[in-house]
Amino acid sequence: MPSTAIDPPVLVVDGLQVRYGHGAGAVAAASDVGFELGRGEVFGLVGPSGCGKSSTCGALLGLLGKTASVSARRLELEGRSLLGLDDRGWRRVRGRRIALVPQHPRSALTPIVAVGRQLDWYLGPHAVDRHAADLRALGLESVVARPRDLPSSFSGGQLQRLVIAIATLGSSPALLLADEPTSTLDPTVAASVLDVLAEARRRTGSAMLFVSHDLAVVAQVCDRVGVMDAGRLVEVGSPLELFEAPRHEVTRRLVDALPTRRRAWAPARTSPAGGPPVLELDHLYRYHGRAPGRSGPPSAVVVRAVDDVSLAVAPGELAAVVGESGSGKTTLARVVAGALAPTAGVVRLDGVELSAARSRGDRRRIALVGQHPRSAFNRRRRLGAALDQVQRVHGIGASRAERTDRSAGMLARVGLGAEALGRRPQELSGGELARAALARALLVEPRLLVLDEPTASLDPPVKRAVLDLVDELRRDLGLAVVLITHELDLAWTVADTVSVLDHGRLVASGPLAAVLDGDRHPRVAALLERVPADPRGPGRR
Amino acid sequence: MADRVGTALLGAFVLLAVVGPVLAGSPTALVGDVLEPPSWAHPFGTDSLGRDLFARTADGARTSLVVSTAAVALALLVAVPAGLAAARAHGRWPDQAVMRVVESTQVVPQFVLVVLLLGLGGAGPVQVLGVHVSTTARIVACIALGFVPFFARIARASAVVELESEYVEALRVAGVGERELLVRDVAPNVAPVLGAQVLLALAIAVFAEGGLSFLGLGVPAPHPTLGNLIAEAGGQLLDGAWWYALIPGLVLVAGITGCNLVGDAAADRLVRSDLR
Amino acid sequence: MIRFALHRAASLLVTLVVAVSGLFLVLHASPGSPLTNLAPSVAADPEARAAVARETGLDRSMAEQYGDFWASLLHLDLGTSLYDGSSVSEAIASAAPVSFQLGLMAAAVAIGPGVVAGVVAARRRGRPADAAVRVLSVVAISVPSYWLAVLCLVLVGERWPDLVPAAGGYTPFGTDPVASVRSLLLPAVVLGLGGFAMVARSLRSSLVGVLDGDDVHFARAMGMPEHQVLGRIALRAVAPSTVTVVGLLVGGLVSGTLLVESVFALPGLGQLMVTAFVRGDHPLALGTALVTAVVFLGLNLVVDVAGVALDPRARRRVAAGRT
Repeated sequence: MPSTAIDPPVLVVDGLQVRYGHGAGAVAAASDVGFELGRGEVFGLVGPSGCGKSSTCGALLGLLGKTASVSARRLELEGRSLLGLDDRGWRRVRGRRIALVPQHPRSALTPIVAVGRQLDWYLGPHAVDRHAADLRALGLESVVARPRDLPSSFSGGQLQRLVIAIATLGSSPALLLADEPTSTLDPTVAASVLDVLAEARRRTGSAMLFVSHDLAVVAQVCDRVGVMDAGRLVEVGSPLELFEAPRHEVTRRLVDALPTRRRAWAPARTSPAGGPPVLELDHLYRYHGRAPGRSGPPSAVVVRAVDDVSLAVAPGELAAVVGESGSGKTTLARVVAGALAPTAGVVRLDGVELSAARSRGDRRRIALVGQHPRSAFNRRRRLGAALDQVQRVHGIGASRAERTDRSAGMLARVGLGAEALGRRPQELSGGELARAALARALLVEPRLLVLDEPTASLDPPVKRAVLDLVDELRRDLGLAVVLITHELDLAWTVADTVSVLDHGRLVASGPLAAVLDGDRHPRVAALLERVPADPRGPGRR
Repeated sequence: MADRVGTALLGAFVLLAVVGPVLAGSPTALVGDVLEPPSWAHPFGTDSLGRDLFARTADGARTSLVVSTAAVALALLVAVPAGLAAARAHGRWPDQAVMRVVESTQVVPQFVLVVLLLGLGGAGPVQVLGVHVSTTARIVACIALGFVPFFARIARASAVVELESEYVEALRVAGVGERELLVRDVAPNVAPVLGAQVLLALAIAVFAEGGLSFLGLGVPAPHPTLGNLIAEAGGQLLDGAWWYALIPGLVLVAGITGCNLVGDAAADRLVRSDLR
Repeated sequence: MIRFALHRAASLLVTLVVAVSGLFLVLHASPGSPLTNLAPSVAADPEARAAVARETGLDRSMAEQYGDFWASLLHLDLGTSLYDGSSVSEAIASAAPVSFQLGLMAAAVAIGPGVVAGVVAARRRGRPADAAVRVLSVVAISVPSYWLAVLCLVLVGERWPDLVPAAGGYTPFGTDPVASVRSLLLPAVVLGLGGFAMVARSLRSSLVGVLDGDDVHFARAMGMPEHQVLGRIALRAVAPSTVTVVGLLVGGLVSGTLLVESVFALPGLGQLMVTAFVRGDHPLALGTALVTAVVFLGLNLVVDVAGVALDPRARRRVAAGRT
């Protein structure tokens, strides 16, 4: 619904400045930001974290706190200026004319108050009864049925619908501020939440400012997109313009980071070394739940996290294991790496069965890189000491100086300078830590590298770079790699084979083409479905 | 700001305790008239027997400092190994045993426990297993015992958090042994947590030592302590001898406030460094 | 909820039994047994010594004494004082109301103003009111009650002698409520000051955290007025942690009565216990310690249960049996 020339704009932002602090130490979070939103228009604001999207949003709500100072040539909602409003003035705007769809619905709702009560706060008494039909229409039957439950007993997707209900059912706001509303959701859930948001907007006719770091989502949702970098709006255009002809470098980087079917469906590479498999999993089981005999009653529900999985990985092969959250893929990674003992079944490395109590030598041959690079390192140790430690315990390098040389060499391989050796984890970015974690894993020269969602917490451009690095390293080092991920599109850009895990069971396994083409298992089809559509194609929601 | 005020107060207290007794004469000698107000000769005045209150306050501050520091050090010596051992055996019997002992000492508040322990032994020096134990040493031991559950809990809790954190699992999987983990990774991370608490514990120890002396359960007269000086002064105040209770009390407050402020600042810094 | 309370009570009871048994053993192994504290003339005479031992039951085996000890405990008989032969139970019964009233008044002094100061400081973060609360609470936590009590006795006593109870001059609440409250007002303020600081500080820091939270941000973004943000979200969120601090405060109050009662010469449990220890009166000491422990554990139980009752998440965990 692009704006027509006759309608006055809903929102006018002109020359917006947001600064934190005073005097010489002041930091500008947004400088000279300007854009307009027509009635019913959706404007996307994208950019890397820290680019000033959130400060721009906060300025529109007057909620940046006392340390921030906001100035603008014009900041107008429906023709009325938002500059210099007092508390009472803001309260007439917030929730009535501007409504927020927050990033983290789970923390946006108070954890210790029943959802029904919280609906009453925002929508008036007996909100659940009065709005039962609307709530059902938004897919919130569960809230209508259980209004006395706490937010923690609803899923992330349900809670996101709930905050959308709060934002749109009470009044018809002129402007919806959607602050990364789907960034914490699974792709399928995200898609349905976007549908709900579109439906709600159709009802209220609100314009929407849609903030995201994910270009693919923005392209689906928005009429126009603004790209922000370092506090400035560097480029504005329709999604198609931005994708086809990105003018600014930041835009180009965002577009490049989008998953593409680079080697999709290519026939599996025959493993260069050939020979017997590096890793074999033979009818592997891992059940969670309290074992009988421990104190307390045995847990009634035993979770079959890994349920009869058999798999072989050849030398030099990159095997992707794909599944939704809760499918048991992390448990599988931890069992293979020896962090958990299997309930039954055998893990073989180079044809030799590994015992549940791994020897130090076994541990050296299988390296694990976990999901959260932020917590992969002891926060009080410098990176140099951490990299030294793993070499020392395995007797690598005769002296500390020699080990430091090896560390520096490995850091260079993963794209980090030697100065990182003197840094503490807090002083490195998420992407740098992911690289450092890879370096630590590779320093002990493992046979097999297990990567458990190594990029899940990274921004798309960084994600891409780390994945390319993994691909390059395993070719150079002839390493076998097991890549655990929930993003099928990630897997198909680098993997040779793919295995799909569902409720702990392997439902499909083999070369990419064999699994993804032709006669697909329904699970595989579902996973394919949720891969974000190519933004250059049609399919806008 | 608060940090600097705290350091100054604590510094003044330590200075008085360390240098004061050297400068001043004997704390028990009768050097002047009874209840003289502060003057150049007696900057803190004199007490009801004509003893110099500067000498007595300085000596009392030293006793406070020695007793509380020794007590906290002794408590750490016992509690930290126990806490770490319990954390390593998390949930199994050594852990349960340590936690049971800790719990059973917490049926009464800490200060009451110290009073109980001291009171049960009766007043005066005793023989324990043939070794002569002075009253002061017994007071140190009792205050220390009062702190053992406190430190053991903190050491155990923060070691458990460390041992269950992701980086420890990463190191285990990478082949780093349990002993190396405990000594090189966990213990160094537990130390700053305890460090921040040590100063707060010192503040409590100084308070407790004074309180025991005040109740007549502490270091016996004629040896001065800040607590028994205040207790003595209580009887004299109505004669207009304001300095008698005020000055030793202010010294005590300076010591406790200093420890509290520096300890708070240390705890704040720790939280900030973890969040960053 | 009730099952949780009973469960906690049972486990505290076990702890209490273990601790009391430990106390009994230490008492009997300690060098300060009554027989070492006898008057020299009695100690020198073996027959007189034996008589005392018989009278106090110290001539029998440890096991027998232990059995007797529990038997009489169950009859609420705590023995007789070695000092004057009076009943320990009676002494405690007459002292307990004083300490109870003092503790209650001190708790009121600590919690009421503490909550107000904490809320004001959190809402005016970084402004003078916040700084004032911070300074006041550091001072309040650092000034030892016994010193402050001594100063108060003089400074207040000179101008308003009515406010200072004369030695042993406690008026029972039943006799004259106004005089009773007035006589304990000053001791209660002195005793409650540390607790006030603890409540104010902890409430400030937890409120500051909550007020920075996503739920408060969302509520403000949706136009909820500030007083409702505070009442509906923030105070509710910090209630459980504040109750935990009140639990710590109970320990401070119980400890403090020992000191404050001796300064103000109030005939309460604290003074009774101190006197018992100074005189080496073991039955009285054991009795007061036992009562202190029961009261302390009981209050802790109340605090634990209140903490769970105020937090719906904890309530659900408890209902699911994961205590």
